[in-house]
Amino acid sequence: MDKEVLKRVYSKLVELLGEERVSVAIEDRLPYSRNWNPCTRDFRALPDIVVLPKSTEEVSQVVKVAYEYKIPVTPRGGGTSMSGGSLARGGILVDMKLMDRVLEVDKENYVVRVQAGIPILRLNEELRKYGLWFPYDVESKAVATVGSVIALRSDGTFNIRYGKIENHLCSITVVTGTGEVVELGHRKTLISTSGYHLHWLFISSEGTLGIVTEAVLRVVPAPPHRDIVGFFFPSFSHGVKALVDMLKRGVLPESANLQCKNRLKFYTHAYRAKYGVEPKVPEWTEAVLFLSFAGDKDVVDFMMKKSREIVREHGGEPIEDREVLEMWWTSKHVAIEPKELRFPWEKPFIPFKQKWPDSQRTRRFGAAGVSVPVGKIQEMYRKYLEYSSKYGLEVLGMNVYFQHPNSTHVSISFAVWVGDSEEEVRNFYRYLKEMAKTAVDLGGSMSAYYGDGEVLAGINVYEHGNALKYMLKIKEVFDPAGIMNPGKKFGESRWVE
Amino acid sequence: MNLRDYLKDLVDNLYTCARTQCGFCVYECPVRRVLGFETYSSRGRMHLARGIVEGNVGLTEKLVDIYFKCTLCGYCEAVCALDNTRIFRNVRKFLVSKNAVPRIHREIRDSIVSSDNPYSAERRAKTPVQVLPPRKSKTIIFLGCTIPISRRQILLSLKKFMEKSGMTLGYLGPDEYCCGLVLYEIGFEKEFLEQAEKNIKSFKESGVERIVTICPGCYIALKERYSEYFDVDYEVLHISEYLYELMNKNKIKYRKLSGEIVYHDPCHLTRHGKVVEEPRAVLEWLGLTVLEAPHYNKYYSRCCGGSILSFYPDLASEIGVMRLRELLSTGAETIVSGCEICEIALDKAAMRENVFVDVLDIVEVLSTALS
Repeated sequence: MDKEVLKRVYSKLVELLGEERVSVAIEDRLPYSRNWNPCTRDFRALPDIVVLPKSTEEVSQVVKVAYEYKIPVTPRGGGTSMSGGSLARGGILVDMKLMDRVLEVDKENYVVRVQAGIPILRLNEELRKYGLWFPYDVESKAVATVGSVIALRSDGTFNIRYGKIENHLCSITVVTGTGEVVELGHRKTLISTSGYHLHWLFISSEGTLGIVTEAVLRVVPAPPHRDIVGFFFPSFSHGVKALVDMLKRGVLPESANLQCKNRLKFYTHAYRAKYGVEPKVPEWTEAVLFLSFAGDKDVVDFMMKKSREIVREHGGEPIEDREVLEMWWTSKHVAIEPKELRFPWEKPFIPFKQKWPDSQRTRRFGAAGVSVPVGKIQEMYRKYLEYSSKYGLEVLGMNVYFQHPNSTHVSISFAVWVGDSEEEVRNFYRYLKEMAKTAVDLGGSMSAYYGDGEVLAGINVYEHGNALKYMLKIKEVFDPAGIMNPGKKFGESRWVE
Repeated sequence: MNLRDYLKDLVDNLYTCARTQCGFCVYECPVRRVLGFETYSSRGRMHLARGIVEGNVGLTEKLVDIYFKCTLCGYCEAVCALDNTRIFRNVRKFLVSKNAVPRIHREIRDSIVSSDNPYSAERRAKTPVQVLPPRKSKTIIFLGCTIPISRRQILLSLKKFMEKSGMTLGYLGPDEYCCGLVLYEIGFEKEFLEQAEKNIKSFKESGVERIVTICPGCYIALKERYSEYFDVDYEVLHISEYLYELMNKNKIKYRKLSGEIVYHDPCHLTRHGKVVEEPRAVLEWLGLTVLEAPHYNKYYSRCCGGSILSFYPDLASEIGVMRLRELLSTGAETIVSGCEICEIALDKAAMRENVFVDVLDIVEVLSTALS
C-alpha cells in the first residue's frame, strides 16, 4: 500500500478504535501471515494493518474507511483455513476474535445470538450452563469461529444428524463491502419462503461479500447419552451399503466416518501414545466405519445392536477392542480440554501431547477436500492412490465425512504428507488440481469443506462454467469496490498452476 | 550468538508450529485475551521467533514487550506437544544477551543480586529468624522471598503447624538464598546460576536431603531448573505433597473442617510441576468440599496473572479478574491455592472487583484444622 495512504488510513482507524486495537507493526502482522494450507518454509502473506473490532458498528466503520480508500479487507477467525481463505493481500486484516460474546440465549426457542468471533468450543462451554449444545462441531473448534464456519461451510462431526451450517443459521448481521450493516435471514427461524434467502449467499462466501458480525443459530438440547461403535469392511462400497441400509431401516447415527486403513493410523495417535503399538486391523480390511449414536441409553443400545446386525449382513466385522474406539474418538473428535467431555468414557487428549503438532514434525498434513456422489467413492479412492503416486506424495489416508442429515451425501478428505520444499508444495497443488477436476467429472464438487480460497480461485471455473459470471455479479452488488477478501474464489490461484 | 544458537534443536519446533497452525493455543492465552493481537498468543510468539531466526524481525521495543508480557503459564503447552515455554525463555535469554530487557526486569534482577529478593526489601525481612529460628535437619522448609515479605500469615500458619503437629522442619535462615527462578524466567542465566550455586552449597553443607517448599516457583527452581545445570541429590516436595504424605500415614492429628472451597491450580505447580491431585486430596481429607472452576481446572487451569504482577500490574490485574470470576462462578466464598503469588494476585483482583472473598493458602487452611 502507498505509504501516504497507509498513514492516513492508520490514523483514521486509530481515531475509531484507539491505538491499542490498530497496528501496523511487523510484530503484530507477522503472526497472521499463514493459514493451514501447505506452503513453503518461508511463505508469508502480510496485511498492512491489523484491527481488532469489538462490535458490528466498529467493523462497519473500518470497512467504510477501506471503501473510501479502496483497500483490501481480509476477515480472520482462527486462521486454520486449508485453502488460504484468510491470507491477506496487503490492506486491512480484521481479527474477529475480540467479538466473542454470547448476546442472547433464548432457551425457550432453542436459538442463540452470538458475535461472529466466538470459537465453537467457547460457545458450547457457555451453552452447557443451559443444557444446550451447538452441534455444528468442527474439528478446529478450539479456535474456529462462528463467522469462519459460516464463511466456509466447514465439515462437522455430527452432521449426519444435524447437517451443515445452513441447518443452523436463522439469520446474520453483515457488514457489506461499502460498510453498510444489513440483517439477512429470518430472525429466529430457519423456515421462511419470504424474499430471497440472502443469508444463504454468505454461506461459504469466504468474506468475499462482506463480514458476518453476528449470527442467530439454532441449538439443541444436549443428548443424555452417547456411545460409539466401529466396523471393518473389505471395501468402501461394503461400508457405504451398510450405512445406506441402516438409514433405510431407521438406524440413525449421530456421526459417521468411513476411512481407509492408513487414515485410521493417523487417528489412533492416542492409542499409540498409550500402548506404544498400532491397533490390530484384519488383513482384509480396506475401510473402517465409525458411528456414534446419541439419545436415551436404551435407544442408543438398541441402535448399536441393530447396527452390528446390519453390518454383518454386509460383510463387515465390529471392532471389539473398546480402547481403539475410545482412543479413535479422542483423536478425531474430542477437543483438547475436559470441558468438551460429556460422557464418562470420553477421554481428553493426553495433556502436552496433542496430536496435531506431534504428527507434523517433519512433514505436514495436506488434503484435497472434495465431494463425490456416494456411488463414486470407490472410484475416487483409486484416483487418489493414482495421483498421489504420480506426484510422489505419500498417502496419509482418506476419510469420508457424512455431512447431510440422514443421508449419504459426503465430503471426503484425501490426505497426503507434504514437505516444505518448493517442489513438494508445487507437487501437492498439482495433485490437488487433478483431484479437484476428477471430483467434478464424477458428478461432485472440487471443494467440500474449505471453500475455494486462494487455492481453487480461478480453477473453479471448471466446476461452475459461466455460472461464475453470475457469482461475480452478486459479488459486485455486495462489494462494488472489490475490496472484500480479494484473491479468494475469483481471479488466479496463488497456488495451483 | 543469534537466536538460533540459543534455540538449538528447538528451532524445529518453530517450523512444526508453522506447519501445523492448529491454533489450539490462541484463543485461551490469557495475555491475548486481554491485548487481542495474536502475536501475544503462543502461536504468535512462535511465528515471531521464526521471524527473528530468519531475520525478518528486528529487536524492537515492541518485540521485547511481546516476549516479556508472556506469563509463562504454560496453558499453550498443555494443549500442544511442543516446548513452547522453553522456546520463549530462550528467546528471552537471547534478548538479555542483546541487552534488550525492560527496565523493571533489570531492576528486579538488581534487587535479587543486591538484596537477595525481588522486592527490594531488606535481607533480614526475608529471613524471619525471630519466628522461625534456624535449625539443622535433613528435611528443611525453603521459605522463599514472597512469604516472609508479603504473605506473613502463611509463615505464622506454618509455625503453628510445626508446633501443633510436632513435625518440625529444619530451616536454613540466613543460609537460604532467593531461588532465582525469576532470573531464570527473565533470562538472566548468569545471575540465576549464582543464586543456585549459593543454595546448593548451603544444602550440601547442612546435609539436606529433603526440601519442602510452599512457593511453587521455588519448587520448580530447586527441583527442575537447578538440575538442568548441576548434579543435585536432594529431593524436593511441595508442601501439598509433604502434607499428603503425612496425612496418608496418619501422622497429623486434626479436626475436620466443613464447607466448600474452590481450588485454584498454580501454573508452576500444576502444569510445570505436575502436582495436581495432592492438594485436592489434602483439602478433602480436612473435610472440605473441593469445587472446581468450570472447564478450566487442573492441567487446563487458567493463569491468575501473578507471575507478571511485579512487571505489568495492569495487565496482570485484568488477567487476575478474569480468573477470579471463573473461580467465583462456582459459588464458593473461599479460594484456596498452593501458591502465595497466586493468592496475592487473586486478592488484588477481589479488591479491584470489590468482592469479599477469602483467599487462603493450603497451609493456612491446615492450621485452622489444628487449633
